[in-house]
Amino acid sequence: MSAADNIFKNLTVLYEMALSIGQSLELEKNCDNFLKILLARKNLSYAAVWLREDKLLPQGHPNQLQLSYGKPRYFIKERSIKECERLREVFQNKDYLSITEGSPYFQDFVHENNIKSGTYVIFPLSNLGYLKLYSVQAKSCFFDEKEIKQLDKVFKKFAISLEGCISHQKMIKEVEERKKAEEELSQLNETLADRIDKEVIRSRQKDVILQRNARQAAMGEIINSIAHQWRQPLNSISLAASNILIDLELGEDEEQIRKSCDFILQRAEDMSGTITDFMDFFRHDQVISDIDIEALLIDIGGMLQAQLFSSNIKLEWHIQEGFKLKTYKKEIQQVLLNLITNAIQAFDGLSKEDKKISLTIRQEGSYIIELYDNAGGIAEDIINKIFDPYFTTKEKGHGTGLGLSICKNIIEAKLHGEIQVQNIDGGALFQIILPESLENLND
Amino acid sequence: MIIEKATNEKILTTVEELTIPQGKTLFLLLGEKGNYDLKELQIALKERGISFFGALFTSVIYGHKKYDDGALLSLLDLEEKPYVIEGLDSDEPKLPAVFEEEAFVEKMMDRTALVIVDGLSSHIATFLSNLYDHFGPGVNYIGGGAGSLTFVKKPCLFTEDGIYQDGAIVAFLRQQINLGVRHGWKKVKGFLVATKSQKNIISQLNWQDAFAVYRKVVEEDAGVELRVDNFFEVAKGYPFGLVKENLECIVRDPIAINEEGHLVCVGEVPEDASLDILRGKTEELIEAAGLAAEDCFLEKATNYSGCLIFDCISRVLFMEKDFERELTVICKRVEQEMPHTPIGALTLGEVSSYGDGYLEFFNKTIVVGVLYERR
Repeated sequence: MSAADNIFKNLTVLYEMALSIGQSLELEKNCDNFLKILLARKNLSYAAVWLREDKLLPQGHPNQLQLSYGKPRYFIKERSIKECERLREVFQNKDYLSITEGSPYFQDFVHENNIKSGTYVIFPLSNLGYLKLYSVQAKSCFFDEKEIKQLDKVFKKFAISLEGCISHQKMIKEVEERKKAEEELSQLNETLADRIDKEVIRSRQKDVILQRNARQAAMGEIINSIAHQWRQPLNSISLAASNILIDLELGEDEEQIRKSCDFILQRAEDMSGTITDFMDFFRHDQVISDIDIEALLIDIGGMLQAQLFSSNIKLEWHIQEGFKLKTYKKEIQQVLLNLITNAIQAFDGLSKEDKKISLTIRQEGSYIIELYDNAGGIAEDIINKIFDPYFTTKEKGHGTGLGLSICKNIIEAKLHGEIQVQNIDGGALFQIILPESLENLND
Repeated sequence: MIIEKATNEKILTTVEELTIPQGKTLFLLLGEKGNYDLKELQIALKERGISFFGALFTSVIYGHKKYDDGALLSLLDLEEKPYVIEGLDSDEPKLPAVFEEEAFVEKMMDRTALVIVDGLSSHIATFLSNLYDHFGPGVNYIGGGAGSLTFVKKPCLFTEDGIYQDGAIVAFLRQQINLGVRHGWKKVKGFLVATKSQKNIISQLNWQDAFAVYRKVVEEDAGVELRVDNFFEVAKGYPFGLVKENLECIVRDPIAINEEGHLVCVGEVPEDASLDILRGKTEELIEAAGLAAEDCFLEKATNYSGCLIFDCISRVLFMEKDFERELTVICKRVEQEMPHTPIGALTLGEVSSYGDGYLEFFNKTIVVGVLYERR
């Protein structure tokens, strides 16, 4: 064969090898396409690609090599090895390393099964790792210098293609991880939606219970007020009835007895009026009206008169004459009743001379209602919890813990306002801000 | 033992007269012109309770003669029952699970793998690549493609378990083997590249129509017009050679032009592979056969136990009456070393590794193997 023929022959074989590189972005398939041709055309026994772990894995070690491809598998034994320091040094001066069975270092390079003799030729694959080729023939090198030079470029191209495969592999892994995360998120969302639905149902049930309890609590307060309200007239009725009995025994004149009866009837009528007032209190408004706030406070004062009186508390208010508040009457009435009742109870056990509850209402665009008591204020460690349902500082059996929670709920949900509290001047100041208009807010 | 003008009856009669020692397996090589019913033969042999396997070939070889209608009976020492691999018409022929086991591979180390494939299967190269992947150069391989010269697919392999088409039989012989693989075809025209090919079909050579390129070379050299109707007759003298560096190239036999006008070969031609167009001279082919026999004795062994020959049928078609001279050359060389008569078959493709290298599927090649007992 002429020299030209030889060159053409070499070129066509190199052409076949070069074209077999990079036909797949899958690392193993890319290696397989190329190395099967290399094994067949060069009649080699084994080819392996060892890649640095840090090129393949995020936490990989640069001195640890992983077997990424080995053909035939018959020879495969070790799959992960520590890179021999000597090998790195060798490739600083050489393009390849050939090592034959006679070499004292031969065994250091045997990481395969069934190899006791023969020759290895190792090529670096850029900074990715190594290509290890083996032939059972014990020649000093099964490639001559010319072949090495020819193959050098092919192997460089192969290394570049491997970089592409590794990037592709990483990208696929990232996409898979993202997909997995999305699936997990989607699953979580489904679970979350489910949990939210359950929570909403539970919350509604809680609201129902809360409303029922609130109603019962309010009724308790009212009954308490009625009891206070009725104690005095009942005493009077009882006294008048006793007087009638004495008058009858003594044979007093009829006029005296009639006066006592009239008195009893008058008191009974007053008591009946009280019940009507309280019953009216429980009816909720469906319409917004202009409320004469002073008249409302007089009513509340009347209802709470007995408690105020027995605790020696002065209820006062500072309101511009004829001031009207445009909102739901029954709701604002309940809020004020609860707040004043709460303020009265704050004085329990407190010996103080000038006990007072003072209320101011003004309009600065929004309505601002401020209720102040001088009962010593609220402890700082609980001031943020006092609007929580069932939170109470009262002894068990003496408070539901719902009064302030009901107020907050009514103010925010129905009246579209807000309520806050702070300690000031040895007392507590509750501030309620209500919108100027509720039109279109409660559709 | 050779049975001429073989029939089922003759084979069964001979088998009954045979004393088959314990542990031996009957290997039957059937020349396709014999008169058999393969299924009935398989059932009848199975009923006789003997271990057997075999294949239908275009012809069988016994000594320096070929027998197109003959049946050859031989007793082999096998490590295990022969393994059948089916699905050689699919992309991934599945090998037996036991081939994956390290202990099994170790047990077969240095043994001889007798590999008979259905020569008309489409994925022989893939199967051989997978087989080599498991056993590497740890075993030596010899064998060839069974099947009919009519190129009509039909069941051509059989074992105790059944008859098979598009499959392979792998039998591990206890003996070791020295191999000689030669063909003797020489280059007429070189440096062609199979720029477009798929499996065993070449559609482009050097970016041009494959048939046009091939025809030009052949017509110039042979001085005859190459047409579709005389393609097989002329092309049998002009195979392709897949370039293999520092070794004899691997021959690929073009046998037909398909409907698209592409070249159909026996055996796969990888795309972008470098090809030569080869020409044969009878004397050079015979000389190559002699060299193949000679190669078997490069490493001397003491206790030889048999000689196997798998020779391509296309060499017969090319050499015609001179073909048996090639067998004679081999026999003469073998006789110098051992008393055993070479046996074998004419095949549709030959199986062997080149020395210790890669396992290949050859065409137009002669594979000689000399068995010897392990020390």
